[in-house]
Amino acid sequence: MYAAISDTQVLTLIPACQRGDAGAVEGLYELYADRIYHYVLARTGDVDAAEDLTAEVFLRVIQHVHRFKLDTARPSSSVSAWLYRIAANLVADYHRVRQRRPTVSIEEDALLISAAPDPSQQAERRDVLERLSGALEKLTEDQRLVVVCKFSEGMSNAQAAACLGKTEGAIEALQHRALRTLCRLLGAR
Amino acid sequence: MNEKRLAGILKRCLDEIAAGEAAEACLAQYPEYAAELRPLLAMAGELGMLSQYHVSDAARLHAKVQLRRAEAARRDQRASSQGWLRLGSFLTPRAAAGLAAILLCVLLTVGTVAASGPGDLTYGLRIAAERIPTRLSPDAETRARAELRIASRRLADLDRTMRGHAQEIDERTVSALLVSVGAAAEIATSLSEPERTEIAARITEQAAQLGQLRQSAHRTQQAEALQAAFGQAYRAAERAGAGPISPTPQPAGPLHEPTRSPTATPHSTLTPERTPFPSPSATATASPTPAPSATPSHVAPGDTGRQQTTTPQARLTATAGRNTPQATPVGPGPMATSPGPDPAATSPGPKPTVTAPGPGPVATSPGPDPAATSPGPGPTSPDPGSGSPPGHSPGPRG
Repeated sequence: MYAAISDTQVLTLIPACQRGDAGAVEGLYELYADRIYHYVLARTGDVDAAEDLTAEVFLRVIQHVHRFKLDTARPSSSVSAWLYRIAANLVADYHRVRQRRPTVSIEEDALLISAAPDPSQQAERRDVLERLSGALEKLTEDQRLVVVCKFSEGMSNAQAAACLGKTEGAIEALQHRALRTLCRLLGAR
Repeated sequence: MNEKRLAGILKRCLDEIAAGEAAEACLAQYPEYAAELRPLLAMAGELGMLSQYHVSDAARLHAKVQLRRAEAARRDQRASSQGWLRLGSFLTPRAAAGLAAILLCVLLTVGTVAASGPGDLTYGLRIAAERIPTRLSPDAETRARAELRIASRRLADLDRTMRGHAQEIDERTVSALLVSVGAAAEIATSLSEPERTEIAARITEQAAQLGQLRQSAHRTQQAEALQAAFGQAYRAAERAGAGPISPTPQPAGPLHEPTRSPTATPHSTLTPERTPFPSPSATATASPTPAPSATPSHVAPGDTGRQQTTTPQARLTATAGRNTPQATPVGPGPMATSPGPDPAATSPGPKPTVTAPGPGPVATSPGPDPAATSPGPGPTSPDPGSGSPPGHSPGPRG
C-alpha cells in the first residue's frame, strides 16, 4: 500500500531539481504527490482544492529548491518535512481566503453534486470529508501528520517515524492522542 | 501509565487490522480496554477513507504541464541573470562587503572627478575622461563636433577661473582646449565644404571667446597664456578653412563672433589698456608684426613665439629701438591693418595686444604696415597713434 521513498531517490532528485532539471521536479511530484494530496485533502475536505494545492506545492518547490538544504543524514524525512511545511502554508492561505469569501454557492454546489456519477454517494463522501477535515484542523500539526501518514498513506509506525523524523514511541503517542481528540470532536460511532 | 499502555494496545490493534484481522478479534484480546478502544478503532477506520482518494490522472497531467512551464520560466530567468547569480553564490559576506566598499570608492571617485575643476587634483583625469568618447565615434564630423563641445567646456572652465579671480590659469585647461580645437581643425580638413566651414566657424568663435577672456586677465601670466592660446586657436581655425578673420575681441559685452570679412577695417584694434602685461623688454619678444614672409592671409595675433622666429622686422625693432626703424617698408603685409603704435617703439609700455593685427591681406587698411614701420614714430609711420592714442598707451602694469 505505502510505497516507501528511499534516501537514494531523494539524494538524486533534489540536486537535479536544484540544477533546474524539469524531469527531476516531475519525479519528485510522482513520489510525493499523493502524500501531499492526502495531507491537503485531510485539511481542506475538498478534492479539487486538494489537487490544485498539491500542484501548487511543487510549483513552490521549483521556486525555492535552490535554497533548500538537504539533510544528508535523513534525506527523505527532511524533504517530506519541507513539502509538508509548504503544503501547510498553502492550506492556511486557502482557509484564510475561504473565510473571506465562500467559493461555491448553494446552487453551484447542488449542480456539482448532480453532475457526479452517484450524486447521493458523492454528497455523503463530501460530508464525511468536510467533517473530518474540520476536526483535523483542531489537531496539532504533528498529530495531523501522523494521522495522514498512518491512515491515508498506510504507513507503519516505523515508516511514519522515518518519514516525520520522530521516534516510534512519539508516533504511538501522537496517534493515540489524535484519535482520542477526533473521537471527542466527532463523537463516538 | 495507563495512557501509554492504551497507546501501545491501540498500535497493536491497528497493526493487526492492517494485516487483515477483524477489529472485533482485536477488541476481544483486550476486553478491559474494549470500551476505550472501540471508538478509536472506528475513527481510524473512518480516517482510512482518505486513502481511497488519489490525485486524478487529469490533475497529474495538468500539474506536470504547470511544472514544466514553471521550470522553463525559471530557466529563462536564471539565464538572464546568471552572471549575477553566479557572482552572488560565490560571494562570501566579507567579499560582498569588500565589493560594496570598492563600488562606493569608485562612485565617490567618479563623482569627485566629474565635479572637479581647474586647479583640482582630479581635473586632469576629468579632462582625459571627457575626451574618451571623441575617439569612439567612427564618424569624422561627429568626432569634430565632440571635440568642439569639449573645447567649449574648457572655455567655460577658463571663464570660471577668470571670474573667480584666480591667480593663475590651470595650464591643463588651456592645453586641453588647444588639443580639442586642434583636433577639430584637423578632422575638419577631411570633411566636405559645408561641414568644414561650419567647424571652422565654430573654432573661430571659440578663439574669439579666448580673446575675450584674455582681455579680462588680471595678471600678466594669465594674459600671456591666453594670448598664446588665442593665436593657436586662430591658426587652428585657419587650418580648418576659416579664411582670413578679424579676430578682434571686443573689450566688453558678450562674447562676439569674429567677423569673417576680409575687408574689415580693424582700426583701433589695439587695446593695450585691457592687456596690461608689462613688457619692459617686450620689444624683443612680443612684436605683433609678423614677417611678411609669414602667411599672408592672416597671422594669428598674439602668437609671439612664431613672430619671434619669423619676423626679422621684429628683431630689427628690438635692437634698433624706438627711433630706428631700420626696416624697409615692404608694402602692406599681413599686418597692414595694424594701426596702432608699434609696441616695440614704446618698449616700456605694455606689450601690444596680440589682437593688434587685423586681417592681413587688406590693402585698404588705413594704418601703416607695422611690419614695415615697426617703430611707430619712424618715417613710415606718420601717425602711430591713429589706432591707439598715445595717451591710452598703458604703462607697465602688474
